[in-house]
Amino acid sequence: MAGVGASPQYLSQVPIIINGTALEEITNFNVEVDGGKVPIETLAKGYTGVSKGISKVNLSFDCMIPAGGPEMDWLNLAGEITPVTVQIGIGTKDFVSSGHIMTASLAQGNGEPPKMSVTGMFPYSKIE
Amino acid sequence: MTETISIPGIGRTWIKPGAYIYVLLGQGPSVSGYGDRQVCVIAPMTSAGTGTANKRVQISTEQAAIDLSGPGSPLHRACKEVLLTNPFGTLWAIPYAASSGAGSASASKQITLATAPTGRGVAELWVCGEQCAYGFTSSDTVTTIAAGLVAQINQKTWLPVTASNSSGVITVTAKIAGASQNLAICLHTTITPNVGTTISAGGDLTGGTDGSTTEATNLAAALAANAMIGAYCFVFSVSDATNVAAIKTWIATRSDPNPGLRSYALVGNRDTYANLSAIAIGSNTERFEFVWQQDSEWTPGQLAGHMAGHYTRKENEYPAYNFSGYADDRYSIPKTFNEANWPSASTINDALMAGITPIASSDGGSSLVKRCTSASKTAAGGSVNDWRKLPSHRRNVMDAIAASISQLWNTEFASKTLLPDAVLPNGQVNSSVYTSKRSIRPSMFKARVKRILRQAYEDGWIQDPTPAIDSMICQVSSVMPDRIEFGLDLQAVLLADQLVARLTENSPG
Repeated sequence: MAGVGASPQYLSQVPIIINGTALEEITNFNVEVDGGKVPIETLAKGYTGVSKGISKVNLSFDCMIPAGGPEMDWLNLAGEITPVTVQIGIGTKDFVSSGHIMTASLAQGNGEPPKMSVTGMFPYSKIE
Repeated sequence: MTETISIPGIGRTWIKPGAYIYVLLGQGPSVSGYGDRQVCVIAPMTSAGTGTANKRVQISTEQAAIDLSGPGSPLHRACKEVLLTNPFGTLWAIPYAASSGAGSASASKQITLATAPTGRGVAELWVCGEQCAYGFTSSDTVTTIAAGLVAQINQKTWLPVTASNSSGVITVTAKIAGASQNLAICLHTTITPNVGTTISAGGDLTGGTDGSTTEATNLAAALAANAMIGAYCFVFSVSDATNVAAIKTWIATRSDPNPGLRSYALVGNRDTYANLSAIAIGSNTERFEFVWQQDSEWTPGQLAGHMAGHYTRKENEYPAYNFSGYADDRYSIPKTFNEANWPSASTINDALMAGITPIASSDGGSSLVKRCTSASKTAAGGSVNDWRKLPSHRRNVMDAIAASISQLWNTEFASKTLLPDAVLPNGQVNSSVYTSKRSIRPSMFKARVKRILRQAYEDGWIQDPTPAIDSMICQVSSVMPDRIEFGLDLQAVLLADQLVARLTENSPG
């Protein structure tokens, strides 16, 4: 039995792997599972449930740009129709899907290094 | 120490990098009770062909097949059918020489016209389902009638025969020598009645014999020279026991995990069920298919080529395609001419149980009853049924998933370094651990295969993927540290083939 003050192990990082390559230049990221469920509300019964919608996963992250160029060709991946596979390790489970890089933007402020912001959209797949 | 996952041919002394996948079919409980799929035709050429024996050539037009192997050769006729039924697929051809040398003879049959005509009429001689007709009058003689029919036959260069005439006796001769043409080419005759002239009955060509260089020898050389070529469906024009055994061994060897060239052989047959069943049961492998239509109008290679085009066209879209009752708009196998040779439902069922794909005939034409492999027994030549590997789609689905896994490995995991999985105190694999972009871990590969399985389920290839995912083993080998061992049990989707229903009228009275 864990004693008072004992701390169980927590997640220290989440690897994000695109097309089989683990990304190393990410500075922050956000993964959102949008279930797409449509609430059903009736006058008599109020909120009664949901109907199945289009579920998807939105991924967004910022990454630094090494001297040799971006870790992956984000700008062209955003511009082309080329699909990408994503794998995100979450504890003992993984989210794996095949989708698209939707946007990629390159920005730099005065006195700051250039940074790339990328968003991706993937069909929901069971995390297991 | 033995490996957890061991596959034949990839032991401790095999260290060549690569993806080696062993597909095991028929491993479920006995209840006794799915890249672009390519076709390769391996068949004899005639002396008119300009191709080099045993050399593979890509075929994109019928003329290319004609130039390669000669018009009317078994290879030309099979390629023609593949091009008709799958015009956008990839087709290869490997010609080999027919039998030759001392003792070789071509199969033939004589058709005799007798008695001079007393009126107008039409004489027909059907060769492999093609009509050759000559209209005659009372001015004609049996010689001129025969000459007219012979001219028709020889004009149709795509037929597998040539014809000659001697005073009204037509001799139809196979274009290649050898026993393989016996019972492979059939003739039918009709003539206007009551105009004096008669024509003898048709039948199969016979009398072909192999010479000192047999066709089996030449086929074996063609196979040996092309052991490593890539194609999924191999079409042959022979289906005798000797050649079937040689082809079976060749297919099995190339389909092993090393070299991993999974494929199957497809042959046609027009012999009786009794004769073919012995050969089919003797082969007993999921990588061999016999398309059978007794007394078919078509030659065996033509039957096989026709279905090869259909199979690959449908499999490229959906490896679990259900061919039961198949007769789509490009299907054109004619019904058997002689109704007496239309197989009964009982014979068709027997054929299926023996691992034969039967083609049924009816007044409306023909249709493929159900596609199956020749793996129908627990052992080759045995009598105990085992139908776990009988449905062809199970092999197709497994091969398609194996190809997906192999492609995944080759494109994203091969040539990287390998780290073992990090394991939590509770024994579970920790996915959230730093992994260099140059490295992979078994759990990363496992997660990607899970996605393949879920997609296969969504596409209708396999049954519920959850037990398959639960069964997965993926770990660094304890015996070979540069190797990932991967194991997976899964079930191909079922086919909706039969309905049994009992309707009970239970009004009281």
